[in-house]
Amino acid sequence: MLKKPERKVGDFDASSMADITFLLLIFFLVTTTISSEKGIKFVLPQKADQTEGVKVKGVVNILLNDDDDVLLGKKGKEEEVNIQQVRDRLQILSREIAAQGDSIIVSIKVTPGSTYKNYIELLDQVKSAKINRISLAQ
Amino acid sequence: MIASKKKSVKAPISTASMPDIIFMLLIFFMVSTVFIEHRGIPVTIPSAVNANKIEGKRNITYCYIDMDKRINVDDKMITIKELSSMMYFKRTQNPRVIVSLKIDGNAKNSILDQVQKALQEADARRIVYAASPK
Repeated sequence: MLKKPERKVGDFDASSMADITFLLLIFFLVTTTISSEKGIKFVLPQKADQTEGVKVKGVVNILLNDDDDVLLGKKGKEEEVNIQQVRDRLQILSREIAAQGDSIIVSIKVTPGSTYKNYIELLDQVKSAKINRISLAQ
Repeated sequence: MIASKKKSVKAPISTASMPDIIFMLLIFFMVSTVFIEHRGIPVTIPSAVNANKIEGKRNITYCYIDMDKRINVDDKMITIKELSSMMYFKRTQNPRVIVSLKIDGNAKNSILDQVQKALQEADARRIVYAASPK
């Protein structure tokens, strides 16, 4: 009977494994961007021919003009306010409208010449007043 | 006088599990990494109190608009007319697309109106007004 030749098992040195993994780890650590994307979420309405006119009660208009002045109030009763006061005004109006059994809808209308940062400020104030029903008038 | 040396007790920490720990970390970073695909153009985004964190980083498409009404999407300068078809294409590729509008704070709202109409046209209606927290 033949003797089985002794098979040599190749030893594999695993000690450098940790080093390789470290290298990969450092690569991913460096390339990862943990930049949290922040902003104000918004869902645009359907295309213009499908939009409905807002006819219900409880609509509050906010108008922003080229000189970045703000008009706020119910239809026909708009008055000029400071942009910082929008939140407080809306909260008062919201309570008034809720007392009548309606829920508030804010309609924002901006002129083409107004500045974007004021629009964001306005939107921010509306969001701060915890109002979710916003209409963009076009 | 010779003070007798205290016998120190040897307690070696086993480093055998070190590669496993590193592997775990590695896998975490591999999974969470999203490679930056764009550089954009320099804009100064406005700040807002209600700037919330946006979930779904992989669905976000960035649209940079600067003061001079230049529009940049995926590192390409495009015109307002091209925006709609481009976004429609993106929408067909990924129905969950979110468009992050990085508009310069000093830009005029006329461009915003045009962009929003283009996005409505493309039915890419989920948008984010990018803003830095106050």
